[in-house]
Amino acid sequence: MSDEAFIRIDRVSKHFGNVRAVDNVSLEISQGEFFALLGPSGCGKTTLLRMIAGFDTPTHGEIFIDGQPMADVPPNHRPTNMVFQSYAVFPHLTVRQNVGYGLRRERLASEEEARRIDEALELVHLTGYDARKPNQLSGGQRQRVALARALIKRPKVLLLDEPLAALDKKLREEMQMELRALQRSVGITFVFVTHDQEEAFALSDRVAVMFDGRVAQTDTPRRLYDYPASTRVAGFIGQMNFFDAIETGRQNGSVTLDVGPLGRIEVPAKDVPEGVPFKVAARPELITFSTLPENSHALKAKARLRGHAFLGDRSQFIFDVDGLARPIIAMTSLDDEASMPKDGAELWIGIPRDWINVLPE
Amino acid sequence: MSASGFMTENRPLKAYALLIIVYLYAPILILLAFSFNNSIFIAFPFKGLTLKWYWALTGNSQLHQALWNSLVVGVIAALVSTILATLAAKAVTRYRMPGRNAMVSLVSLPMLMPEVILGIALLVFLLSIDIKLSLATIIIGHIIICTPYALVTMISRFQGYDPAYEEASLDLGETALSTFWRVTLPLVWPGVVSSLLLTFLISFDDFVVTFFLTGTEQTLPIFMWSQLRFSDRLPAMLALGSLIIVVSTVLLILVEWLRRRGEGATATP
Repeated sequence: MSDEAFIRIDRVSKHFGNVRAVDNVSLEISQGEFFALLGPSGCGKTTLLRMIAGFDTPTHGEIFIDGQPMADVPPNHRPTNMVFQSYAVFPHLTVRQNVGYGLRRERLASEEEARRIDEALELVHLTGYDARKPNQLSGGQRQRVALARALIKRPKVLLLDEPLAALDKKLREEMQMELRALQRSVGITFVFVTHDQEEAFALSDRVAVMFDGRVAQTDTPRRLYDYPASTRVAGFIGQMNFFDAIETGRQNGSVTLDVGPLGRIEVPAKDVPEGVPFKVAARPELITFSTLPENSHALKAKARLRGHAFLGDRSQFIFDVDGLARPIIAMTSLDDEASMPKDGAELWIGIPRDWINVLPE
Repeated sequence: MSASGFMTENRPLKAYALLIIVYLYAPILILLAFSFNNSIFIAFPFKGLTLKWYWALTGNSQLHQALWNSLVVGVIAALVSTILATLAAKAVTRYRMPGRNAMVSLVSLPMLMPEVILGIALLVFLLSIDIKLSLATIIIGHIIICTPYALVTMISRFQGYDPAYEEASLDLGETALSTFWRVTLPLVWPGVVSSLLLTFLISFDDFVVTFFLTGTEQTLPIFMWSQLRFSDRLPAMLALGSLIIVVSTVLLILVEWLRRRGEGATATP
């Protein structure tokens, strides 16, 4: 993959005083990829994006776009364009002037310029809004102006900083679909920053999860969810139950783990990280519960239902198991109210063998 | 109105507010009133209404020269201090640099310094380097007293909008200079206009610093001061004072209106 990397971030760090906002990050992004930088606020994702755009300079390391080193290239000469979190649609210009803003430098014939602007407006469904001022637009429309204004420059890379954070839920879902469709139709590499896991998953081909200035894992959404690299990644992406486990035996390439009140399991030795503390983990939707124990389940225990919450498309159940410090969370899409267990009920919970992860901390 | 039911009537407070307003404006109102009084003595009772003091202003060529001098000084001082302040405010609000706060404090210091001290200091300095007093020396002094006010106005304007606008312009291919013309200046324009008006007023009004730096050419306040020696010219000075008050008030209202309009138009959504 390294020969075809379109954006190559090579051991990049950014220090602000004593703070390492970005700490030795290396990433490779392919041409035409929709790539997300996901992490909690302050993890360095926005700083990394701003370094790709050229607004911040790396303290160490180098960024290449399409084979060219970017170190001495100012933002106005980079093949990137950015959609800002606040959109930064110029308040003193009309929609048309905003969209055409970046064309001035290209010195096009006026018919060509008009055609490009019309095209860009059509691309984001804003035809006919030409004369509006930004304060006459909704948040979603302002974002479209910002998109059109960036795309009209035909950048090699489009950078988006929390593109959907300022929109309400309904609009956000709509724009997610639209952004995805837009990216496919223009075929440009999109790199975007978000703190929202759902957004990252819905939009991107691959996601880099960042904590404390470092990349913890880079993978497809599917693999991030199913095979998180650490308890921290697992906990950030969706919900996860974690259990303390002790290694009790090792033979023929398999390891026996004692998971306290849940019993023992045997897992392949290669799945158990060596020399670091680890936990056994299972997603809430993979935990089953019933009145009788299920023999096929690798881990099981008697549990008391502490409480449950109806979330619409699914329900969340919280169980207490004697001997476990933290409650176990289970999620089902049971839609039959009659079959719901009552709070306080004694049930057996179980985790099928295939859905158990062993993760380093 | 049902809403007024919730707001209890507070008579003492109203009376108090009225008293303060009278205290603030009575001298000015008396000045305005006597400028129309048909007598050369500034004393009650009124002798009747007249516009002759205003008419007297039209034929006074010394006054016209002083007014012209004041306008020249005011316009130049306002332009220079506003340009300096705009550039400084851009630097202070947009770039990380060491000693930023110290610099702002230093530039603002003349705002707190007694003008007499400033005037004497400037006079001593200018004489020590052999510069003759003229309108130019007055302009130099006025730029020093106007710049802090212009800087405060421009800093608050720059802080009032998202730096992402300028980054967006760079990102779209414009250079730093063209970004300044196409984005920064239009966005800070209301601040520039209110700074121009404010600094012009400060310069136009100034007496103390001007007093020390005046050579043979007088500004309007200095001219008025010189006329006070002649009691028969006093009523005409009241008329002139009244005109200045009216024009200043209108300009100040304009400054405030521009400031608010500017804040409303580009507030980040």
